[in-house]
Amino acid sequence: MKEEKLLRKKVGSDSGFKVPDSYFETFEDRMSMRLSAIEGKEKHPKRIIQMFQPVLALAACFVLVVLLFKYPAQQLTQSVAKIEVDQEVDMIELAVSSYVGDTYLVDLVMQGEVSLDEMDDEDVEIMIGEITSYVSDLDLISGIEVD
Amino acid sequence: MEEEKKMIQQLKHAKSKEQAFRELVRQYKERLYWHIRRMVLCHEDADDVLQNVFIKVWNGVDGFREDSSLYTWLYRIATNESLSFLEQRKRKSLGGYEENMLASVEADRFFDADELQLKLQEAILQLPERQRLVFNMRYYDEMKYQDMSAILETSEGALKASYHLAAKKVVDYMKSCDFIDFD
Repeated sequence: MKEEKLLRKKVGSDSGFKVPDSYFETFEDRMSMRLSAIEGKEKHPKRIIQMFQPVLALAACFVLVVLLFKYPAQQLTQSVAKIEVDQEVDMIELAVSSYVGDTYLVDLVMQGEVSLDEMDDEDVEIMIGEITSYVSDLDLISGIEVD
Repeated sequence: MEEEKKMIQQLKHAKSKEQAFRELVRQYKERLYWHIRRMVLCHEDADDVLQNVFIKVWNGVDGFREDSSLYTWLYRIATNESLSFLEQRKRKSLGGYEENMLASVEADRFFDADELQLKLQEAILQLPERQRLVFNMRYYDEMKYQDMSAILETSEGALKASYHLAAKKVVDYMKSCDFIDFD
């Protein structure tokens, strides 16, 4: 074909495109890394979060119970309320105030009006329910989802 | 042919997949890169598209029906990925698409062309995408019409006509620029 011959004669077959040094030599390694990243992304993160969710929730419950028994509830709420004023404080106060309102049994224990020895299994279950609800509120604020 | 079959079987087998895939990348990366690069023009874009091609191969090799050769299948994926990339670029492009493409290739630090080579790229950019594809595969890669036909799923006769027309348009464009005497 005369047009093709003309082009080859005048311009040649080199397009002028180049690649960075060692581009092809390192391509397999970069490709493997990218594939590993994709495979890893698909398989692991959700599972890890899901795996640790109950553990985190349990740990949070444990810490909370220790805190509640060590410090009176009102003292705890006061110290939380003293955190620097910003948007998050409003949210925390909201959660804490709802905690105070919804934790009748915990309040009684904290105020010394009911002793733990007097509580039966049902009372303990109710109290655990109140604490779990409080942890969920805190988790809601911190953005961690708890089942 | 036997080797290709063996490679496909290894690619479909979980235990040998990774090693066979590495070998496949080693064998085809350069050919596919140049095929893509001539379509998308910039190195960074060609690199992205090439990696996407191999990711598609990795994810899709289990479903490869083997009714075409591995070579054809890979080129088909690379062609489709390049065309999709260009389509996206065209949609996002404000103003003249060809001008933007040409400006980006001129700014590419991995484009080291003389004035004539640049002019040829400019002329090729004036062609419709499918014709540009045919021109590049034939002119630069010197690919057989038979292979092109399998990849582009177009008859050899249509490809010959398309290439002939493309080469004529390119020469006419270069003549019209009075850049060099083409007579």
